[in-house]
Amino acid sequence: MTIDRRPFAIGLFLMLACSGCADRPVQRDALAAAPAPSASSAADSCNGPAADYLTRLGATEVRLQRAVDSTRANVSRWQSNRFAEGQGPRANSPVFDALPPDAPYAVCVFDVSMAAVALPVPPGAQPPTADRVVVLVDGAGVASLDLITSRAKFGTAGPPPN
Amino acid sequence: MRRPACIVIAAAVMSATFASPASATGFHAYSTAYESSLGAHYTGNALTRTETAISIPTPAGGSCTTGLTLPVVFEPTWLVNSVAAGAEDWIEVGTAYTCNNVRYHYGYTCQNGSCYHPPDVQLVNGSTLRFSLVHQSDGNYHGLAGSDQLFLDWHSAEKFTFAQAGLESYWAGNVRKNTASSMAYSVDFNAAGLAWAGFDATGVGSSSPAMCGGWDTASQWRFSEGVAC
Repeated sequence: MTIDRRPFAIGLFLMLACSGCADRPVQRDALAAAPAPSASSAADSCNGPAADYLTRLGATEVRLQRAVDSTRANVSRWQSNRFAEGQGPRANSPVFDALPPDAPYAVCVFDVSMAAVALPVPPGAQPPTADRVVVLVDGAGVASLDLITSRAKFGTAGPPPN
Repeated sequence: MRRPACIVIAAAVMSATFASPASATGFHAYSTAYESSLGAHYTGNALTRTETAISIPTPAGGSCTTGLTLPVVFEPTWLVNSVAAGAEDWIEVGTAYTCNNVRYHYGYTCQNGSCYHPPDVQLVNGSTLRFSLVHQSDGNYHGLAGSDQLFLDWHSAEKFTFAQAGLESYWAGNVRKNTASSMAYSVDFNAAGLAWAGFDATGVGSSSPAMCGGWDTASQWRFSEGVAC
């Protein structure tokens, strides 16, 4: 009698593939947006260096809403157009824009609670509500702040897929 | 390394992480000067300033990096538009100083409650530079440190209600005297710079340690924290 081992093998594969999934409640559509070969890299970058960065910045609660694998060129285009005219800064960094266009970047959209922040703000001005932030993580795992905003003013879509 | 996506930090951990005098007290104070007599016409602001190091100790459990983490002292150049109380738009460039002599050029622009932060540019050696916010024919405000370090572009035709400069501190300590000199503004998208002339307004915090500020001339503002200026 022969035993069909395929169901066991498939089950073992799924178990190994999903180990660690439970502690990363990233939205399914975020993962679906990333290219298949690096489907988990954006989420790892966001839950690792990006979340660590926000903790150092003073965030007391950090919840990842979107993780997208992208490129420098794609992020630059998104930064230029992610707000309608007058609704938010359509801004870029020439330093960032001078990097190779295909340099990989993870785009991380978080919902946060911020307590002890050190944001520059002119005297008397009202700092932003800052319950939604975007952090970029480069290919070396270095995180940098991109956008500080609020849930009322900015969605979780992130840049379009490459 | 995999981590939970939701990280909740207990208050005790926060206290240990930010056990510096600055964060423990939530210190935040200013010494600033304003050019504001022309109303909502300002479209440029520039000054010359030396980037002399500030001795900020490393907080227990803290790190000394770029990226707006405590403790930090800013020397900003601002254009601010008071659209309405609590709804200001602004753009700024300047130098940020944190512990272990980490210094960097930073930029920041906020509009309608959302703020863009370009990557910081770390400094190796301080020097005397011209910091400028200028609007050019491409429709962008540009933020520059010196003549060649352009690190912030903002596509906007907004005019601002005042130009401003000085010191913003998130560190309760002694910050050496510095000066913002040859301060100049421009209006209505004209490229020509006009010297600050009005002694229009100042904002010097009465915190502890006390902030210090004063006009040397109508276009030169001196400032410090915890020491005389």
